[in-house]
Amino acid sequence: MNTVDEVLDYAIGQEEEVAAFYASLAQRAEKAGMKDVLMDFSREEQRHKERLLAVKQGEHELTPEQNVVDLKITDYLVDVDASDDISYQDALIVAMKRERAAYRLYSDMAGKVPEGELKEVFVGLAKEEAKHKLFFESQYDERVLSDN
Amino acid sequence: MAAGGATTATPTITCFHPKRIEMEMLGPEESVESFTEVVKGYSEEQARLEADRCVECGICVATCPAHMDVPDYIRSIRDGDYAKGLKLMYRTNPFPATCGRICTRRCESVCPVGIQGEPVAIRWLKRFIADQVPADEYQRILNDQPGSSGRQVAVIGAGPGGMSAAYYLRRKGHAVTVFEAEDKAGGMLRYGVPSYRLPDAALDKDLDYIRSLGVEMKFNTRVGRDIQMAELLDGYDAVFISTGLWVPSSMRIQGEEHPRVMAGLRVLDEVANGRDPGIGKSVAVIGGGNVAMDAARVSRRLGAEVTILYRRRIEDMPADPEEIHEAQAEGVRIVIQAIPVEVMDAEQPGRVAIKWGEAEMVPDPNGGRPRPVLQEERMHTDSFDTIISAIGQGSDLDFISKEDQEQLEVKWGKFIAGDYQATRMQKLFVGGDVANRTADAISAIEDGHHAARGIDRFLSGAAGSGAV
Ligand SMILES: Cc1cc2nc3c(=O)[nH]c(=O)nc-3n(C[C@H](O)[C@H](O)[C@H](O)COP(=O)(O)OP(=O)(O)OC[C@H]3O[C@@H](n4cnc5c(N)ncnc54)[C@H](O)[C@@H]3O)c2cc1C
Ligand code: SF4
Ligand code: SF4
Repeated sequence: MNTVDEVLDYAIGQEEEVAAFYASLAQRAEKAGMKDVLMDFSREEQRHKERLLAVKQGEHELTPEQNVVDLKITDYLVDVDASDDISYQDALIVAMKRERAAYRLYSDMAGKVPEGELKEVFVGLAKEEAKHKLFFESQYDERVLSDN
Repeated sequence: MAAGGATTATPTITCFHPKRIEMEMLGPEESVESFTEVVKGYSEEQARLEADRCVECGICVATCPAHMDVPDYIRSIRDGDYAKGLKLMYRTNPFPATCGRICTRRCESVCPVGIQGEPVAIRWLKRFIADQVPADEYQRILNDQPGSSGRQVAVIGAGPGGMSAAYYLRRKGHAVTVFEAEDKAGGMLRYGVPSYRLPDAALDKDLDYIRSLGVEMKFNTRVGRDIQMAELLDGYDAVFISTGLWVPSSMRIQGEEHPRVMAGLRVLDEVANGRDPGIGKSVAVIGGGNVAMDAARVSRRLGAEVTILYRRRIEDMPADPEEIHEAQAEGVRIVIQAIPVEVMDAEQPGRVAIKWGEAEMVPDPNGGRPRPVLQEERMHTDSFDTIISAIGQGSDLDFISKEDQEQLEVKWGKFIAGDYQATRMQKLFVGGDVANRTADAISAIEDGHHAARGIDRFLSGAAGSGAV
């Protein structure tokens, strides 16, 4: 990944893969209501992909805001299986963990490349992923930790 | 008066006493000694004085989820006509002895008497009427004489939602069979709410009257295990589901499967069944809702020192402020903005340790309530005999087949109900905690009543197929 376009293509591919992962899990989901939840997740990833495509075409900028709040909910949760009888709580954990891994990857890359356009893209992608993580963490905070 | 005498204070004229007639309660030292009911109830004279404070504006009626006829039942206290009061209450709520004790009392939050003082004690007055009339007079006074429509309805779950539906369906003459997984009726009111807030005798007074109308009870019968949903849909003219939220959410943190970690619902269930949950002498309760508060207060009664760890602030706790206050008075220590991150063995054998971090509240960028953010440099580890987890609970809808799920609308573990609690499936109605947002007794009771009306319309052909 040496050029901005290569990096964006990689990121777009990742979003596509995650969208497909949720869509296929949705087909197998056994618990009531989980098909819809997972399809919502899949559509969310599709939106991310479209946003990145727009960035690549110069129609959009990567996350302009400064800092995205890190609720740090994900960091202390155990790993869970994305099994067919996945619950809403576990589906959110899977989603949060994926966003966190992506955030980590782009942050690490940003730390490895010299100042310049490429670094900016990695920083921008990391912030995008941090925003996605915040989206899922807020849902977890609201709906799973309802009494906490 | 100021020099010159120019200021004149506007006199405040009130036609009611701003202060509520005080309710006698057990003191905290005494209350933690046993499971005796904490609130003693009004005497006749106290109830009449409290009833006198009502200005009969009727604002509370709209706010009560069941739209109870509050001003009229309060007037019946002033008139000393408790039979009339009881009749009025049963029009919209067949759980007056219960709601008179533990209702979330949204009505009181809008009572205008509260603007310059304390709202009328609507809940305690409801309890007063129910307590005045002996159980063996209910039948004569209420004079419910169900006919026979020839139609049969299955109700799944004998909590307040299911039993309220059963009552109003019987009044319409429909035969009702209630399928209940446990060996007694009452749902979370029996197996969750502890007896120092709601004694079994009060709950049973409500339930026994409903059952006396000829409701058939099938206890120890879990739908999905002992009988299948398809059989009910085939064998009955309509089905009402009110199965509640019985699955404790897991914290999903490292070490949670430690043998000294228990779910709050399990502790409450053990106590309700007269068993000792074996919590030991020092307990940490995780959470800030009803279950956390009751688990903490029950633990105090079992002789434990109790610390509640809660992620947010006191004002964010979903538990009733009155309960939080009573818990604190009973010696429960509340540590706010404390986020558990790991459970492990304590140094002393047989005990458990919990690592938790302090939290800072940050504004929600999307305008929601402030959210706690863990401060990783401020971590603590404490040891206890038991950790009770009470962070929330969800539904178990596995008794619904995959094909039926396709037809039903379920979001975040709850059914989406349409008009009259109907679903998209022919003859299937839903209500209570498993279908509403508020998850309190009176909402479940109202859902049951509403569903009974819907089912009656459906059975009499007034509402087509019954599907939304
Ligand atoms: C600890 C605690 C304290 C609370 N305090 C208050 C309070 O102070 N005030 C208040 O208003 N509310 C309170 N609540 C909430 C209140 O108890 C519930 O809102 C109310 O009981 C919901 O009624 P329901 O009929 O929807 O469900 P539930 O009361 O949960 O009853 C559901 C019934 O369905 C049965 N069931 C489940 N699945 C099946 C199946 N597959 N087959 C057959 N039967 C099944 C269950 O065994 C249960 O009996 C409290 C809850 C808890 C847990
Ligand atoms: S049932 Fe509850 S909300 Fe309704 S009037 Fe009684 S106390 Fe108020
Ligand atoms: S709102 Fe208060 S004053 Fe008005 S009718 Fe209800 S109890 Fe009485």
